Amino acid sequence: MTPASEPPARVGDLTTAQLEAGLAADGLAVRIGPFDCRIQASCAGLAGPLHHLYHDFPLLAGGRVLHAHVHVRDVRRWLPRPSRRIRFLVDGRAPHEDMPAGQALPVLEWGLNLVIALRFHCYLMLHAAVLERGGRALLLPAWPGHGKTTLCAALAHRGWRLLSDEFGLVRPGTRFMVPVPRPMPLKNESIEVIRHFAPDAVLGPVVPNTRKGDIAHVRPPADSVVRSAEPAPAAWLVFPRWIAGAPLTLEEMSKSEGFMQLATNAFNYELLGETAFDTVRELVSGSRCFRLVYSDLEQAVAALTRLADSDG
Amino acid sequence: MESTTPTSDRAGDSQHPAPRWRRIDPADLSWVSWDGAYAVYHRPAGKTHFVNAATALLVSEGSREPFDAAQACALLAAADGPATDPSFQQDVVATLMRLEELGLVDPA
Repeated sequence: MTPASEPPARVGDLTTAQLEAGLAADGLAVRIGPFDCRIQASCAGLAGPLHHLYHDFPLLAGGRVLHAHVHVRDVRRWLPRPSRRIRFLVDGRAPHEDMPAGQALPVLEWGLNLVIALRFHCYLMLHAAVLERGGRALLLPAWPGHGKTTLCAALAHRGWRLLSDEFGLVRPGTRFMVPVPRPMPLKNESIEVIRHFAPDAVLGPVVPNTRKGDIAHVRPPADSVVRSAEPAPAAWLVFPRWIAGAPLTLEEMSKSEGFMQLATNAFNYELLGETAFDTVRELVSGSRCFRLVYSDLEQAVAALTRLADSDG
Repeated sequence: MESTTPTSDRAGDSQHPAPRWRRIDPADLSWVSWDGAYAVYHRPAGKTHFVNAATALLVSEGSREPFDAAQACALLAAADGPATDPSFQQDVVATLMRLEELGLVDPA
């Protein structure tokens, strides 16, 4: 706990009651990687999980320009029948329909994803997990369902620094990956897989029956949050695919194929035009490209760690 | 990312002169290549294309003066040796037609 005379430095320096009161009032300004956001919540059941999952995130003092102001609140409907829903607002506007009550945490996290994906085109944005080891970054570009987040959560608890589980943010024209560590959403069976793989991982509550199934978030390791101003240069582009029962293969691929796959993977490739082309060229030129197929998480983590440790 | 299947009917026949093309301004293109495969960014269109070595040669080394399919085949033969496939020239015409649709060569 910080001394009473100093403002709290981190979310975890507040009590849950203080956090809840702050969220319900004007909200709390939090730094998430390169983004400064105000989070406001006027719905039940969100303060506790946020206190748990954003424990190490820096709080920001008032009176500054923020990148976004997000608000999650209860909505009551009376017709056609009484019900409660959750509404996500960004800068006062609802970008999508209301969601079921009890899903405030995933709604907030998906909402933050939406804000990043739609607004922060100062970066080339890859649909990729990013981790760092030995000063170099591993990118795991993958589409939903390929096991990216589970693999990312596993690596983050085995000596890799988490930069991101969802957005690979690249400084344009370079191969430097900008950290944006956030709670990692595990779905369905992956929840127990990570509980077993990393008993020290800190998980939030399981939110059942979302549009993506049951979801539980893994708190980003403290070191990842503390060091979120430290970018890392990309060294390995590994395109992962979890397939049940598949033997492990980590196969190097040509840079030309890596370029094609990465360009296709980037959210805002066409929007950024030649800047995106140049940035993907930088990434691929400076990195080795691989295809990874696995079913056993321990084997996949070991293979990637060996790659990083042996690749001078 | 564009396919290379031509859709134009400008292939030429006995009643129409054979089509001719010319290379576009090299300043409109940015290239990267590894292992004989090429990616090219076309600045005016804002598009990225993935092409093989032969297609890259047609786009980057074709003449600024009008050239026809036979001259294109000669360019490719000089780089890779004479073609043995009898449909080679037809394939080159089809490729050039598609490149014209994509704006990577100009009609002459």
